[in-house]
Amino acid sequence: MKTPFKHIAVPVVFIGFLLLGMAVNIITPARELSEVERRPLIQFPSWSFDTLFDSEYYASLEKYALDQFVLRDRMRSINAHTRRHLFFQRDVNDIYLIDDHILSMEYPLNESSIIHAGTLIETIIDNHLNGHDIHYGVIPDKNYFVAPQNGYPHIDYRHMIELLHAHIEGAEYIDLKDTIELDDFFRTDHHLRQDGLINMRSVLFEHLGINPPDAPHRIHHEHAGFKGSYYGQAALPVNKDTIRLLSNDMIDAMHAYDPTSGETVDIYDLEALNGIDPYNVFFGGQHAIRRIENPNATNDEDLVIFGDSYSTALAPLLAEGYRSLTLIDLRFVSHETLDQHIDFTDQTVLFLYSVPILNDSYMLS
Amino acid sequence: MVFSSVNFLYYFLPLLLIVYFAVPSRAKNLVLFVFSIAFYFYGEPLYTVLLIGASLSGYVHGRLIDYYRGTPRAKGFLISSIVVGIGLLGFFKYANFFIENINVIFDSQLGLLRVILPIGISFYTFQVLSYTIDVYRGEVAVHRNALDFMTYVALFPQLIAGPIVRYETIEHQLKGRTHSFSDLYYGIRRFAVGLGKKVLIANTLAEVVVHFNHADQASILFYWLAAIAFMLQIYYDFSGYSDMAIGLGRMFGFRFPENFNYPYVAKSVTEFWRRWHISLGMWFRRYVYIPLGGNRVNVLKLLRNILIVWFLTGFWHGAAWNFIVWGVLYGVLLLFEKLVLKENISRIPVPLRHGYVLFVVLIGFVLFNAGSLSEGLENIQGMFGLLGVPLATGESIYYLRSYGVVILLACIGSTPLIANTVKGLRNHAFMIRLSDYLEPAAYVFLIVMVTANLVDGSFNPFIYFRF
Repeated sequence: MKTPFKHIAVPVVFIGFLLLGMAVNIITPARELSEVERRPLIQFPSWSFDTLFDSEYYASLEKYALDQFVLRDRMRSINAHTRRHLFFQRDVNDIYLIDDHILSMEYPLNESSIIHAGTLIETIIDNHLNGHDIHYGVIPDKNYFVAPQNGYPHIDYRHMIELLHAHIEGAEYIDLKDTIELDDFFRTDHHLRQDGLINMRSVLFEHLGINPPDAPHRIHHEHAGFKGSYYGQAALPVNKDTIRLLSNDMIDAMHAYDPTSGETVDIYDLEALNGIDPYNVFFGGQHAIRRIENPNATNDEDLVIFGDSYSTALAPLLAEGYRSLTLIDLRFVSHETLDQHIDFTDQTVLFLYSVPILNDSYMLS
Repeated sequence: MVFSSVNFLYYFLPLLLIVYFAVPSRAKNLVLFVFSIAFYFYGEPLYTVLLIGASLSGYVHGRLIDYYRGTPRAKGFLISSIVVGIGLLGFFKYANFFIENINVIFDSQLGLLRVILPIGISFYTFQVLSYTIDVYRGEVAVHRNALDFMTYVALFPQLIAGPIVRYETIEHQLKGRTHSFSDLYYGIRRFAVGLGKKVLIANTLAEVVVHFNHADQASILFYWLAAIAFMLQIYYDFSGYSDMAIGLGRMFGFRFPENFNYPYVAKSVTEFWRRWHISLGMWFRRYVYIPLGGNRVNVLKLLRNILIVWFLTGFWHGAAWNFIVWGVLYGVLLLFEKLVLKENISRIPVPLRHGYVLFVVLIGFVLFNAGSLSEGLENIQGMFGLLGVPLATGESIYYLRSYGVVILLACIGSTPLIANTVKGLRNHAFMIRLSDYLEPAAYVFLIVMVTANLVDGSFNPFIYFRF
């Protein structure tokens, strides 16, 4: 009996496809890093006689094959489309889209983390900040503005704030949730745009008792084509963002440095815009301590901010109201060693953390 | 190595296909043996020795049983083969279960053994046992070629998660088999369908269970959602694996037995077990139930026989009380159908019978999937609102909406509806011509989707590996 056409066609095409896949994967050189995922890709694990009987070695071979698969980003995109448009899943790997904004689900509320953050802040106040004018604020994440209305799981923001209040006694709370809205965030990243922080700056100045200088901002630099950290994670076609850096004569005259080394740093490190994470444009990335000095300050007030990456975009704008601004990131320095670098005298102190950091605060020390 | 991995799909399988079809017939079993050992070694380097040892034990015992046939020594070697097989299984799979229970009963402090369950030990042990028992019974001829016999035991398609292929089934295929484009076609078709079931459906459903386990707040809806998702997941996971195994076997000229036949359309628990994990049911029937007397005994012995078989079935699935209770539960239900309902079951309206089967299977899998018996019972309580949790939470509603389509597709796919529709379409001349071009493209499309899923995530465990 004659073999039906498809009985030949299916094996030829199927096996041919697998062979082609094998050949292309072998020929294609390994990539060092994934730009859209912002991480180094796993390289071929080195082999030795010791690894021969080590099942971990073979597990790492599998991870290598997945990381280095040809057209990896395209494959991830196919999967995202399958999940979204074939299975009608509302998120893919906790990433979802609302109005051209990419969001990552921040859920559930990690109460012990919030308590840890509150307790840590209180400890810092007790140990370093006796007699200071101390405030704290919480920067809501993107989910706060859209998750409840769109049926996505979300943390109970009010409960989180109540938990913080219950553990922070020595600082005054500043409510910032109404100072921003969804469009103040980058569409493809979790951070706020610097030009979306103007309202927050005004409210902070008001609460901190500072009369903001009357110096309008201009666009210092504009960087189009910014692919935020969610862009690669979503693997879906979304418009890229534009980073706009604000400045004026006062900011232009500011001087920033690292108090731990004395090294001068750029407030806006434009070279970082071409790096793997263009958000590192602020101070060249995240560091333990940064200090900005404002030679044209209209007062002799000093501000210390305990914050995270959200604060780096805000810092130059807030520095306009102070003689100096010190930015401390407790992810990179322990509060126990702060006295070696900072002389806590009579500065105003602001604890300013975003929801994702508070909900995962064990990285703060 | 697992079938649903990039290294299997894009390196192991194409390489094996090239080598296998390039060598002459007499070398094909050697190629399969070498690749099967490499397949196992990749996942369990150290325990490969155990696999080879178990195979050799089966081979040597078979030869000895045959050599001493008709003498008491033959029985001695049969017992010896059973002791070795069950001993290995007992040590690696059940020792810590017994130690834990002894510690509880006698309030002792015996230390647990530091052993990891070797992948597939339950499957290949049962295959070896089926061979030595059948040789002793004279139902199969002893296999004199050690390499071919070890190829049977280590044959990678069914090595780690079945189906449990009795030696008798492929005895002649081991010695000589034919290959054709049609076998390759049917094999690829079956393999691709199984791969899709496992990666696209089962893995996606598994996420619901993960979300349930990490839920911020429990709810009745979430208990039910997770239970239904797991019930579908385990079907797609295990039947998908069996499809892949059967398909791979067919590519290399073997005809493995079917392992699933739409179990969720069963109208009784008895029928369910004729459709679910068929090769295991057949194994226990042939090597435990019938030797105990089967159903041609008085009621008390029937009770004993069925409860023993289902205790063992549960225990085979896992060394924990929830598996034992799960197995015994089925024993009780089968007895209920056999002794109480009898033929009257056919008088119950069909929808009610479907509902009854689906309900007990669902509850059974809640026990099955639990980390312990108490956790399983707690989950069942949760499903019926006995834990004081709300009916639904925003979180549970969200996941119902997010996974609703997959669950619906999985429900439809667990019935013969799609297969029958495809079969019907194949009767039209136009569709036959169209399928000549559509099918090759469809399988490539499917493998691209599977690859995309694999590349995107690393969550890919086969549920049945732990057995």
